[in-house]
Amino acid sequence: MKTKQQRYEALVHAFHADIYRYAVWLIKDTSVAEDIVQETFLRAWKSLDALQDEGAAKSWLITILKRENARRFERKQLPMTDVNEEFLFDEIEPAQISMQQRDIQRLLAGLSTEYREPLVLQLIFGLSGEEIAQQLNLNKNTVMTRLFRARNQIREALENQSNFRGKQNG
Amino acid sequence: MDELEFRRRIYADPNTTDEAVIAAAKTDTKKQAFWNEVKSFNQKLEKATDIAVPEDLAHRLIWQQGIKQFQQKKQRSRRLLAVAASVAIMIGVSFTLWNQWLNADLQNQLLTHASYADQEEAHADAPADLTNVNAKLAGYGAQFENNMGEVKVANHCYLGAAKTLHLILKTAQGTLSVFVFPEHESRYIPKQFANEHVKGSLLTMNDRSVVVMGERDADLTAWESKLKKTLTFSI
Repeated sequence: MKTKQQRYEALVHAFHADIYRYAVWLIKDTSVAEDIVQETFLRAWKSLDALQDEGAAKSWLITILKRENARRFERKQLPMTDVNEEFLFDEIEPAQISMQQRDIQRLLAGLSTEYREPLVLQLIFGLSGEEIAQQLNLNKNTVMTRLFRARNQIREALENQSNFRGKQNG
Repeated sequence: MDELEFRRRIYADPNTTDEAVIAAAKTDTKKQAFWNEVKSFNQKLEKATDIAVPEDLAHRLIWQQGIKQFQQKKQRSRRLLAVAASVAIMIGVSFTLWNQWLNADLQNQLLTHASYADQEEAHADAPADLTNVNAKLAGYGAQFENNMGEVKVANHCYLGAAKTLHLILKTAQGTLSVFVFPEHESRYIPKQFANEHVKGSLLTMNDRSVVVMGERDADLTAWESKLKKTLTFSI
């Protein structure tokens, strides 16, 4: 029988990285994201006994994180719009990534939350359409449409960009 | 499956295991090529989301939880200490009150009991004859050598901590009370005491306290000497 402490440490090691990444993509501010992740795991510790099924841990943590993030707006009365549209990846990523990767990151960050959130849930956690629908309290068709539109928007923007660059070079 | 529907499904989930999608791709190389293209695009997306995580984040999460737990434990033990302290105070106060009650002025209790002697009724069904009274007195190591008079009631009464035997006699002088105390009664009883209705006097026999009480104008001296003659203590 594992102790609570051991279960907690296992949970941290298994999920902290993906949870952090999800928080950064959701909040678009690394230091706020880190605070929210800390709050999330503190809360997870408090109700760890309620988590019976280890398989459900991922969705459980995502739910806690979303709630903690919502509490941030209640606390500070911040406007619900994305404040930080100028998402500075240079802070997060060293310079080795390619120009195209950087473009993709900018475009992903530039998606509105309703498109960005389901896409990030799919990309980071590999959640299925049903799981995302459950997590976001939407129906599955809506989720699939948003996923389609999210990818479509990024692709079109990339193509426009390369056409534009091509013309400039040519 | 038409072209548009195929594209929609692939865009929504490039790693789909949908059989209709797989079947459509098998029969159409253009669809398969499109799928492959979206798959590689998706890999770029996945890589783009895969941002660096602060190296020590996991350790900090475990550490902060440990600190929090430690603080809570400290708070809990402080709260426990506070509870223990108030319980101790409660016990102290109750003990003091209990003690005060036990040692409450015996004189007042005697006066109260004697004042209501008229209304007192026997608790036992047996008549208060010499045999029965002596049976009760035996518990106090005492007995009457011969009949004292008409004993109306013989009850045990608690005066604070001590169980006493309260005998109520009908006499020509009115209702008379005799209290027989057990051994080791150390509380103070005055030699003579009274209130507006009744009065009492203390007899000490064989180191034991016996109190005779009657109405305010009754003459108790005759009864005192009668008691001294008839009541004997064996221990």
